[in-house]
Amino acid sequence: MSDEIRADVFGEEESADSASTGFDVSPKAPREMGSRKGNKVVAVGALVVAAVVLGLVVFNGLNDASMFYYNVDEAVARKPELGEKRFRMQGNVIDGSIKEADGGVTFKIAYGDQVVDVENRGNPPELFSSEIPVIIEGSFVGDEFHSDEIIIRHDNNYDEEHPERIDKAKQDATHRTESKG
Amino acid sequence: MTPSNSASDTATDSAPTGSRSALTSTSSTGSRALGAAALITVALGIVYGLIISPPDAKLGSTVRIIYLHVPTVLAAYLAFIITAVGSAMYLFKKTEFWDLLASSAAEIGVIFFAVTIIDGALWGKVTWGVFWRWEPRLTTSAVLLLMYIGYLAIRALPADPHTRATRSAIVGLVAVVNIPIVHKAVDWWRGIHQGQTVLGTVDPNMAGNQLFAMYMSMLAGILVFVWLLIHRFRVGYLTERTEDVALAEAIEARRLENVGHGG
Amino acid sequence: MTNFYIAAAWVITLGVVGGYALTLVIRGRRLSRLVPAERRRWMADASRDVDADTADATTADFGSVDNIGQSATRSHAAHGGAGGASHV
Repeated sequence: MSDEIRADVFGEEESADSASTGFDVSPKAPREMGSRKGNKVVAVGALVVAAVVLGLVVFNGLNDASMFYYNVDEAVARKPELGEKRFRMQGNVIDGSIKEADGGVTFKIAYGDQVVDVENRGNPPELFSSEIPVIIEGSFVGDEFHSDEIIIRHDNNYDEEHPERIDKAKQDATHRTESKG
Repeated sequence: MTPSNSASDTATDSAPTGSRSALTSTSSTGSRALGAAALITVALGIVYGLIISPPDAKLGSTVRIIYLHVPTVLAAYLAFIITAVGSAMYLFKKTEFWDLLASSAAEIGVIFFAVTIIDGALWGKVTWGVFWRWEPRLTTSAVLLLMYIGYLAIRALPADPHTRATRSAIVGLVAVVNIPIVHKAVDWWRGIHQGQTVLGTVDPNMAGNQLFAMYMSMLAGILVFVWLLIHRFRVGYLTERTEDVALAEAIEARRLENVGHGG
Repeated sequence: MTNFYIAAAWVITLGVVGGYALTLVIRGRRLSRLVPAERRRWMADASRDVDADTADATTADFGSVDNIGQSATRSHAAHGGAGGASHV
């Protein structure tokens, strides 16, 4: 943003402001900026660029996000069309189904009336348990789901760490997994 | 008119300084009192948020990020609403006050909102297992942040004050539409982010020192925001005044030049 | 690792907001030296020899609203944009 450049480009034009100051200040003084017309071109250009970038981000984002995941039962129903495509699947980890495996973990995930076996490569996050619903990223391989990312769906319930509250939290967790869609 | 130099090269200059240092800052009695109150609540927020409040039953200490994430986003929303009000009032009244109020609030809002997103990503890494996904709440938040960065970018474009103020007022009014979208994104689309906290219920089960830490840090966030707003406004006001001085000098120089050349 | 992320969140939040507050104070001090005191109306409450009528608390806090309003018309009309240069 050098003053010299600006003066070269816009300096020759008549200043719109000269009337109010009583004499012409703009053509010779490099510090004065130039016309509004020139500025408008810059501004409109910047706005267009910003709008395009924003549009792309929104499109890329919400296109993905409006169907951010399928529930297990939906995914099973769409299995023919999904094929080996990569997608996200949400469900509840079945209690007692989590087993350490070579290079990862296996478990069963359920939602609605469907259950799917999952083989996950890599270690699950710390909070991974059968108490909190998860979203897994991967694809079907046969009847199994092969995932490489487990996302924990935490909700906005916070409880102080007291023994009697932990029981309640567990109850809440099972409640919520049933009601949320 | 004043013994000051032109605005662009006076940064390091020591123009005549008042003997009382209180006279050469943007603070006033009111802002100092507010600043003291803000510091106290921040200190209490730190003590309660990091030490006194217990870890969460499921999240452990990760819950302590919430005491940052929620207050900062609250302050950011407040800032962007003030920007919208200032923008609307500017279009009505065309006075520098409303333009300065809107732009000051927007800058602070961007800072708070960026911090909110960083805190949220750290929270996400620990809780969800990932820093970021293009899920609805996060995507709309990114759009919101970009729009207000665009607002500040428009203000940085060379333009006369009135054009600049009008342009940015329009953006300031349009961009505020993002807030309800971001806010409702968790209801409208499937995603990872948990339900509303700001303006919704802070978890009704949250209690005791967790709740106190939350409210204390929210109060701290708002007080800090108001303090920042007052000071940012005054800095903006002073910036305009130094430019007035520079302009007056330029005009005076040209006038003398014209006289010298015989017009 | 969890504690690292928590610590990072607190350090970043307090650091960024605190750092921003500091830059505002520094900029405010620098600029205050360049602008005559009578144009910094919030100083009314700090200086001793001040007119009673400038001590209107609400407007003085943000700088005088009326004053800004009047000067704004002039500055918006006459100001070709010397502002742009030092603003960016």
